[in-house]
Amino acid sequence: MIASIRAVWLVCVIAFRVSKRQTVLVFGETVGRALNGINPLFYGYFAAGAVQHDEAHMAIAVIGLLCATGLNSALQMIGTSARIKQQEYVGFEFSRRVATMMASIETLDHHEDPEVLDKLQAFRDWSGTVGETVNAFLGVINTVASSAVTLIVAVTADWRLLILVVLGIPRLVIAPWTARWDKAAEEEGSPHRRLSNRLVDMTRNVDAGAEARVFNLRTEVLARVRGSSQSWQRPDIRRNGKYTVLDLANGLLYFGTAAAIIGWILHDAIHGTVSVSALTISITCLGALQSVSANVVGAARWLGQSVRSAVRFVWLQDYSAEVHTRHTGNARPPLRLRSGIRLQDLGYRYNGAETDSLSGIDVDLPAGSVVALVGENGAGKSTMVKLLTGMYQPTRGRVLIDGVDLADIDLTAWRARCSGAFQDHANFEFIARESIGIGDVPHVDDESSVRRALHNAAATDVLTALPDELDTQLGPGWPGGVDLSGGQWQRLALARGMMRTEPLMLALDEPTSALDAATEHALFDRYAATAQEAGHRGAVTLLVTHRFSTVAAADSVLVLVNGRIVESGTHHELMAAGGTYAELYELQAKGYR
Amino acid sequence: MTDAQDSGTRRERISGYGDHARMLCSVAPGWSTTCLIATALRAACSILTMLAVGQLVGALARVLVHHEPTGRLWTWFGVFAGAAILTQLASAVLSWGAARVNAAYRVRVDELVAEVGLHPRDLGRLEDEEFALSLSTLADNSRHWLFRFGLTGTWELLAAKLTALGSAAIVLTWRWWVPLVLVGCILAVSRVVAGWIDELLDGLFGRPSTERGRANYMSALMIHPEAAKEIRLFGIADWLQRRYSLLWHSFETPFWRASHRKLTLVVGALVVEAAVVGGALALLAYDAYHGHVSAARVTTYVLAILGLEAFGPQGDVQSGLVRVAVFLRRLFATRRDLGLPELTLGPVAAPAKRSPGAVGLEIRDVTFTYRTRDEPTLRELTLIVPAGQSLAVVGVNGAGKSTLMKLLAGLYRPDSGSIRVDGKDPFTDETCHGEVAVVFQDFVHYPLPLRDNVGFGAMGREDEQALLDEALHDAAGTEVLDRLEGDWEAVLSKEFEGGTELSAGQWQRIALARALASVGGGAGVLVLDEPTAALDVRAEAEIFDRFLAMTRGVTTILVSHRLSTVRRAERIVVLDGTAGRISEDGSHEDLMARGGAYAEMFTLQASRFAMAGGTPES
Repeated sequence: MIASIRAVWLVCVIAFRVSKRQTVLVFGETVGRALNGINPLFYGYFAAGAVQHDEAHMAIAVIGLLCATGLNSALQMIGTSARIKQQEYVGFEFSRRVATMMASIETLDHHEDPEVLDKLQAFRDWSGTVGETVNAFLGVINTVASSAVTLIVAVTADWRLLILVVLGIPRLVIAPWTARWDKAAEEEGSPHRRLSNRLVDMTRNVDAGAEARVFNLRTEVLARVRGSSQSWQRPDIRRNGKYTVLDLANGLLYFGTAAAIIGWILHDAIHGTVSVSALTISITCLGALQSVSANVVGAARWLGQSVRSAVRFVWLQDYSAEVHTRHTGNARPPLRLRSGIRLQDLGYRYNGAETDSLSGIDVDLPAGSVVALVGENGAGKSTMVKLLTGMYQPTRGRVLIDGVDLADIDLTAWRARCSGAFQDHANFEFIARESIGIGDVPHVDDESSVRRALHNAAATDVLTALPDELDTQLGPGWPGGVDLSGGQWQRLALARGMMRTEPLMLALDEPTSALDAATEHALFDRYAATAQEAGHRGAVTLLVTHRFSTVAAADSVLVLVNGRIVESGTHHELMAAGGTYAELYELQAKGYR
Repeated sequence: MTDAQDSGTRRERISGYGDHARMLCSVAPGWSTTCLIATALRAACSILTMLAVGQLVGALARVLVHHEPTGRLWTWFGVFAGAAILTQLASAVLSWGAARVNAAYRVRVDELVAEVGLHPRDLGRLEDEEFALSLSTLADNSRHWLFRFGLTGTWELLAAKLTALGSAAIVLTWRWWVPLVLVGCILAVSRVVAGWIDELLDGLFGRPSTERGRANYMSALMIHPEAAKEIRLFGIADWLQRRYSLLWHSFETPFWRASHRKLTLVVGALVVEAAVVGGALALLAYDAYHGHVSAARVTTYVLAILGLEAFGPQGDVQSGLVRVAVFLRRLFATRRDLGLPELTLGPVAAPAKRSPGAVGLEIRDVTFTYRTRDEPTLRELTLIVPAGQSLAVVGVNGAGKSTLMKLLAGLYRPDSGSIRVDGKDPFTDETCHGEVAVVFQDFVHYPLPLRDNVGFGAMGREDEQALLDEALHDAAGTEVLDRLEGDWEAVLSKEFEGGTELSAGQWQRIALARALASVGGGAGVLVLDEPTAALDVRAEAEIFDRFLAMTRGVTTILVSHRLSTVRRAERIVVLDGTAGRISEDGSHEDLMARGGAYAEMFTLQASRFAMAGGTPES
């Protein structure tokens, strides 16, 4: 509850900050809706005027109806436009803050923790709807305003209509129950909805399309679409059935009572104790009066739903702040490495996991050396890279940069002195120059730097696939955009990793898995050169791979098995030792003998 | 521009409403009729209420002024109360029926949209930018809230319009020209208003403009995990954030400026409408004052005149219904283009029964050019593979290896030349579909149970457990089954509750198992396009040790750039990317002896081992 209030408050504050003028205009709709509630009053005046030949009453009625309808529509249009605009701008402001926060949370542990992951997933699904909280909140205000007007008009016409107002109360009381129906239906249906959407999306995906054709899946996929789509609708139908019964019972009770009350009022009118206008007002406001409770429930439910996104936003804000307080290190990284990087009793366990992903890592990565990290899938290689770049915080031990604990170093500053490329790199669909250049933001538009990086990554020939060279838009989804092969994207990622010219640590985490033999060869030669160059500044180059043909040239090789370093030494030493390394090397070399 | 989700042209809307009616009849004829009757009943009740209220007031006046008996008064009271109760009953029936109609409608829409993507045999259609765009807009639109609103609100809107017609009929009995003038004015104003609303909705929720798309892309990059590592390593969060803001404002600012200009016009039109309605009311007041209109009718006329406003726009529901109409127009047009029926799923030929056994392949003088490229990828390529042979295809990245495999699987039509699988054209001959099993480089991760992920390879025999077991075993995937605790029903996606996410290597085995299931189901050719790219050394060795067992009784084509795996094949061909045809052909030994491109590549890869100082024994 407190979180919801905080969230609504935050949304209001941001809405007001985004535009004060819009915030005021938005209430045009409120006034319009309220005016609408007065209509029955003028019907009453009109009827009374006609019956009693009273031109004053009729004039008031005509002018009143004119305002209530004409003014009301104009005000509603202005208000609605302002509200939608406000929703857009507030929504954007939230999206911007969310995106910035999510991209700036110092560590990546949150991408691994299932609990956090679930929350973030929900957030991604709904991040666009924070702006709707503005809408929903105004909906509540509008409903309250128009309901108040309706109630006042009704009750001032005849006090007996209060009984009908009271009849609306049970509807409010059972609202929590009906909200539970909504939630249950939503929870039951949403996995089916997601599956159905995924399946429909697959039908237009080229890769899935190829398989669907090769394996004759058309009938089956359509049957799955139908099945999941039906399962998604079913809880909705059930919930709707419950609502129908409830609404019918409610409607019969309400109008049954209303008929009795109107009959009573009519009886009094015949005896002259109730005026014609009061009778007309009573009759014509019945409909509006009935929907008061339903409207209030609806508006509250809407607010309740949309406030969830805002509450998640508050949670993200708190989470981001909490992670931030865990990284208080502010030491500057050294200009150049003197001794190197030392891993001291380093260990890491994923949140909620039963075993360590890395443990007891005690090793020196000397300044200026090329270190290879070898191991099979899941051995912990990528985890180690993430620990070295500060993406994960060690659960045990320390990473020492020239003797200073990485935890005491400003993470942003340290990363600014690192570079690298990953097997699971992102495909940045910008123009080629930017896609590479963001590897070193200050030089993002510097053509010569980008070309040098391409050269160092042995990726210059990717340019031949780009009709406008570095100005080519990447990604087939954009106008004039080109699609690259997996290997070409990977080489752009490598070039990105080569943008920074003076990194203290260069981590190449399986960046060549998609490349063919010739390219691989060219690349390895280039790595060696780059590594040597970097070595002069004391930089450590970390080559992570499962390809044993790559690492023989490294100064030292670390063999990782199940999160532990089981062997280390030069290629020759390890081959002589005849352990895991020799076995796996042999396995791969065999193919070429 | 053919982007849907906009409000379409006037013509499209009107004919789209007809399509909508046909859909309603087609998906649930019984319930739709029920809903129609209930809707008419509701409208009738609304009109009756207007009449009853007027008569009630009139009767009361006579009782009060002329001291007439109260019988008539109570009769009209009974009509009023009866109409109110009947409305409740009709609404309940309507709500009950509409829920069923909507559900059936949405299921049908999902099916119809899905079939559009699945139907064309030519995979090139899906790669066609325009077709892909129209498909994705169709899917997006069918999930849009406006679509939902329009569909759910169909009956409500119909009731409102029918009531408005009834109101017009009532006003007609006062002065015949009044409803004509009023309705004309309301319709004219409503066009201005609806035009503005549609423009607003199109701008906000329509198919994103490129700028909007780029802005959304920026925020998606920042939010999703794919780029998280690089964003942090390179410190580009702020760069992205500024880009996002800049792009967003670049389309939003001009959009609102234009919208505000139009809003002035809308407000003006509404003021005119109010003046006209006010004039009618003033005239009514005049007539009533002079006794031309009885007290009984005055109230009814007031209610009816105001009821005419329902001819105007009815908010989101009406905007939504416009979307539904336009959506159907475009869906049906797309389906007609593909030769599919509009309202129902197209007929499907029963898949041919396959008998196991290897089949031969003949590719003769095949030239193929991608739609998006100027230069052919393959030029007059000829390759004959006898039944049962194991063939490896090597070549540099982009040489066209995968293209050749897709041609074999009948996914594209060659520009010229012929392709025969077992003597049949895999593109046109339906009996040939299912003959070629493929492990694609970018195979699919189905967010479905393990059973489906493997069984999808052997449609028609997917319930034969032994077949699935064998396929998974041959693909070295038993470890995956162990991880799932032997549960074939385990969903392979974290997106779904209780689902398990597999590693890249484990997925690779599943994809392999799927293709092997297809072989078990009778496919005569097995194509493996880089089947071990995601595997580590040990797993790769494990799979290739089973290679012979896997490929028994089937023609096998292996595409790989790892030559250590390729050499096991009986025959190796080198695809020259520049020439677009086969440049070398022979066994590993032949090609090594020849000293051509293959020998060069092989030596290059092998040299990594030689350079490293060889083995402990040497």
